[in-house]
Amino acid sequence: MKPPNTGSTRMGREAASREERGLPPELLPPELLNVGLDVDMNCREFEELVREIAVGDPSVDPAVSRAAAEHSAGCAACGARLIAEHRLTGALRALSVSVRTRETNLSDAVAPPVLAMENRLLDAFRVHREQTSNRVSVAPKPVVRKPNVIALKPAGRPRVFWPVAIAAAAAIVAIFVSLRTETSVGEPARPVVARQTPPVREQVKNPLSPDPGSEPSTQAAASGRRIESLPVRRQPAPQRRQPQMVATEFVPLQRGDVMEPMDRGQLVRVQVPRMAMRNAGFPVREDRLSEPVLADVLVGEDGTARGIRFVKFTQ
Amino acid sequence: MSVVMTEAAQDISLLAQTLTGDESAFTALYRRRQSAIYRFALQMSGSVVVAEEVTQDTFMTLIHDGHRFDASRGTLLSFLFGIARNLVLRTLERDRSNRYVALDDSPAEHAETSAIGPLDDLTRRESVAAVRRAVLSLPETYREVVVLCDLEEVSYADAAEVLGCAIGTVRSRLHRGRAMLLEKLRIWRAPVAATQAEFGRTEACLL
Repeated sequence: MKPPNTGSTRMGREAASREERGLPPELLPPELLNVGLDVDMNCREFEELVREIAVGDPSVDPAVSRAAAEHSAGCAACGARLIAEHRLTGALRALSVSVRTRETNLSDAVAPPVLAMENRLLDAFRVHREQTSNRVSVAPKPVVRKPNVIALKPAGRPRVFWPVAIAAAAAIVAIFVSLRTETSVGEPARPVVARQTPPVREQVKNPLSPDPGSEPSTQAAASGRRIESLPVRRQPAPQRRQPQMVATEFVPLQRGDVMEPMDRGQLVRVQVPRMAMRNAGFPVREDRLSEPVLADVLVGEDGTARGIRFVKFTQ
Repeated sequence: MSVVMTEAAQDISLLAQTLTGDESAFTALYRRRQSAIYRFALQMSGSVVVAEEVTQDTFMTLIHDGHRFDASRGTLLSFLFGIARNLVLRTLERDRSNRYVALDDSPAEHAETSAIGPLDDLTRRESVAAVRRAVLSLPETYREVVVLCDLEEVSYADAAEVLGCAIGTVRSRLHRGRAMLLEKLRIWRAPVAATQAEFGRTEACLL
């Protein structure tokens, strides 16, 4: 129940009443807000409230509704206006019910895409949860800026970057390993490499596992070998300290498809057989097809490999 | 009101659990609110495809940006409506050719061609289709308030939160949007003429 209308508290009550209705003060004359009083309503005031009255807005005071009814009964234009608003309200409700009912009636037809969407969202939720937990445990700082990037993502893409990228890298390495195993049989270059490596292996073994029971002459001979072998073993080290990377241009991996431009991606460095270079259009000698070569695979956010380049380090 | 508050509180609770990685909470939240978001996107775009896309992206955004929700500024449903609205407007902007506007083959202007009014001479289904076309033909500024307030029965305050404007702006846009619908559906003119003839008046009452 509203408090009685006294002059000292009228403004406060009016403001409270407007607030309850969610209506701006400038749109309602104060006399319309007094419950229990007879209210005279003119056409302008009726026009401002006609929608609320037509839809039966419960926030409109009963006194205002009565005043509107009385006004529309005595004013032909406002009466017709109220009828039109009633009809429009009915039509809009029919549309609203139609959409809701169609969802219900066609639940069988709607269910599959809804469930599919739910499953997609759950997949994305799990990936995001894993990413968030990984980020928190390894590097907390990117957690702050990550959502801004996510908000600009293309529509409908689940975030499956890392699992797919790791799987792609693993697949490439696995292919390389299998190809290397298959091609090693009958490979002409293989004996040459094997002939070079045994002395090195032997020389490496001797310093690490000296035989205490060996004779001095044998040890001297062995030490002589060690002196010769150590520089051989150390030679590659300076090369690795100051390498210069030489890389080919990126070669697209999806030639048949029109690729969407990508905002972000990841380079995954893998080792692949040189056969991959030949497949990418680079000339490779037959006897080196099974040799490994470094490659950078460009993986898009959706996990697909977009391009590849081949890398070599030289002094 | 208490029911609404309870639902809002449940939404917030589910969101809080979702943000901690609770999958069942996210599923519950999705099942509670996806239909409203879908309907809003459908009524705004007129396209089932766009509606599904917008619904999915809305909840994707919630997964990643749910922590941005501020309960002091409005309900979670308003937050979701706001995301969906931005996505719909972005989609409509992208497809400015309005290929999503008409659900049926006939263009929206057909709703205005009936001399008597589609609600008088058409079947109910046709009338609903005419109303749908009329709503879709509204400018986006007015369409969104009609869809929110009249079709989804969102309060003025929540609609103002979704649209980022004042409550008075929502009311005035809704008033204008409904007036445009009355014109498009020819609901307004016929009753006026009939009522004036009935009462023998030639002019409306003045202030």
